[in-house]
Amino acid sequence: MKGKNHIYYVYLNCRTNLLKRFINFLLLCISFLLIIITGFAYFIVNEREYAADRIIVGGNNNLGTVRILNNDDKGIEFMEEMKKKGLSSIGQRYFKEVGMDNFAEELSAQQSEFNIKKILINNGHMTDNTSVICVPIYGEFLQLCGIELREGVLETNPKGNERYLYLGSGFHDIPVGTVYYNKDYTGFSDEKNIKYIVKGYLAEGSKILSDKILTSRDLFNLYYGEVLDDKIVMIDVAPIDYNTYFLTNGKTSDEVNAILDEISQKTGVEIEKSDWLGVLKEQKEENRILIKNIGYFLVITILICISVLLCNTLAEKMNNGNVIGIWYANGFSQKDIFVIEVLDSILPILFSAGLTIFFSYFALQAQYSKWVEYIGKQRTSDLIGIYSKSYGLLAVVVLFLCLMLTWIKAVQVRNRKPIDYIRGETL
Amino acid sequence: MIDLKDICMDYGMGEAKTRVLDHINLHIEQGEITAIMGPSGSGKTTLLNILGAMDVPTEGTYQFKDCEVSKYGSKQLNEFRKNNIAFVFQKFELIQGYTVRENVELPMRAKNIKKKERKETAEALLGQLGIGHLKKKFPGHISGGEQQRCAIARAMASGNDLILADEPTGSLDQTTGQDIMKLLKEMNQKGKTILVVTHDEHIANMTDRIIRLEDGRIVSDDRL
Repeated sequence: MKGKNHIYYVYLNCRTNLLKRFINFLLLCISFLLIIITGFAYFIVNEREYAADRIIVGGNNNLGTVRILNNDDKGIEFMEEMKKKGLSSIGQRYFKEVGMDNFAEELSAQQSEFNIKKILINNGHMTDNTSVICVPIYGEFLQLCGIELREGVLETNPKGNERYLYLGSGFHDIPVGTVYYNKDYTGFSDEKNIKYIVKGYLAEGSKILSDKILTSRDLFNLYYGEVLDDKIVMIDVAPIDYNTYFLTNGKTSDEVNAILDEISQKTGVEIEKSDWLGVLKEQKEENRILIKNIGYFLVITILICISVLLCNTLAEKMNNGNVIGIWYANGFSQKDIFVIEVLDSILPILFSAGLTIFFSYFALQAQYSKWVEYIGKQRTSDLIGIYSKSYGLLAVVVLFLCLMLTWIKAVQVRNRKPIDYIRGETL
Repeated sequence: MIDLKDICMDYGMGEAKTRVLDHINLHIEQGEITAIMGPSGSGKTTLLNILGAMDVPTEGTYQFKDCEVSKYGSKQLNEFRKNNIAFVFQKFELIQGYTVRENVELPMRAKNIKKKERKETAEALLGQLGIGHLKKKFPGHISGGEQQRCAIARAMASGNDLILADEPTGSLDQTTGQDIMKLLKEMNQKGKTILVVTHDEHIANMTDRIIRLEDGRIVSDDRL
């Protein structure tokens, strides 16, 4: 029998059992949607867990934090002392109690972008519609970034009212050495005349290489590994009132605390030994529980999906068995019947899976910016990986279902004589 | 056309083994119309199923024209059935989800007959049997007699030489049953070989030959 005849009988089977097929189709779509969404949730939480692990502790616990409360320009001195004692500062996180977590640091980063955008517009280097992304880095930590320049010299110690700008390759018409002045808002009401100096151009394809650089952004929104072509790196002055991150270099917690107390006494800087690492560990634990629970849910969903399909297939066959007998009596071969039965089982699964993938893709895309925020801006490429993993998981389930049904059909068709079907012995 | 030699058929195994056909020897000429009669459980339907290659005998040889069917594997049996056999069943065995025409087209689809020819043949046969107007109806929406006509149309559509009818009038009233037998006789006159399993003496008397079975054995073989 020709292939189109096989398809025709699949169509007739579907038409005959339209309501059952429709219910089956809905159940499959729901199951597949749950698999995709749960799989997506599982992989994205996993990815975030991995990202946090990689960014914060670099795979080990070699990280400490200390909050410098009233440094009065002694912050740098404090950090230099830390360095001498074997605690290498690797970055800071702006911290200011304003009633909302992270508000101040977001404000700081947004304010930098706002100021630079204003300068570029006023000087005719960009239109109002263009956005500019500014990556503020404190000079003290710039050496860790691994930034490469196409032009200019990397300088890391701006004075109090200076900011150094390193432009991405997209800004080609601003000469190195250009100076701009701007009245910057530095807090909620203060205004300060800041001198911006274009110090150089970043090499094309230049990236911030170190994944341990903590800028003033949220921990998960670090710019590590990000191509800087369309960005401006702004070298800022030494920070005030920040959480400072440092590598403990193998020292125990007690040893680290003793060193910090000693430096505090020596420099007169008041500090607070915050337990940020502890918080992160708690978050990691919560993430692990979440991943575990999502994993259970995923397994249950897959099992339900398989059971539903199996029950529906068997139920239909029990009611519809002598059709095969009639096919045999009218000259259909065992191979024809096997092909029709397999296609009849597999095509609805593939159709449901295709439709679910199509719609779920748009549903997930609608949440794209939220996912990006969740795993961190710098990891957007990983999001594509998460999509493929989720759909890959569904593909594995679909493949398993198809193979299982093919096997059932093969056993069902091979182990029975035509007369068994006419007699109604269908299973 | 058909030669059966020492055909035996057993069901079950060990102590539960039952012999349904016991050394059946039978010869049927091409173009005959034969009735097979006998009480329930005498092996009539089993014999028909073996002749139709729907079942395989435990012992004996089945020769169809020049072919030894009893030596065939399942693939060859399928091919043999497709090219030589047509069935008419007591309960019509029409697929309820297919229209009358779709049911009639079944054997032609199996033979990959082209759409145009398939459609024309099906409609012509339905017209000949007086149910052309029912071609788009589903079997559940037509009477028993009409369903059996549809089943006969399907058997004719196969174009095969041997028609095996298992109590074709068993589910019909006497008048309709006799109409169906007339149709089978007409098919026989066109050269088809027909075997009819029946309980009904009137129906059997409309054939050329009556074979009686009892406990799996042929007890009489009378030509009328």
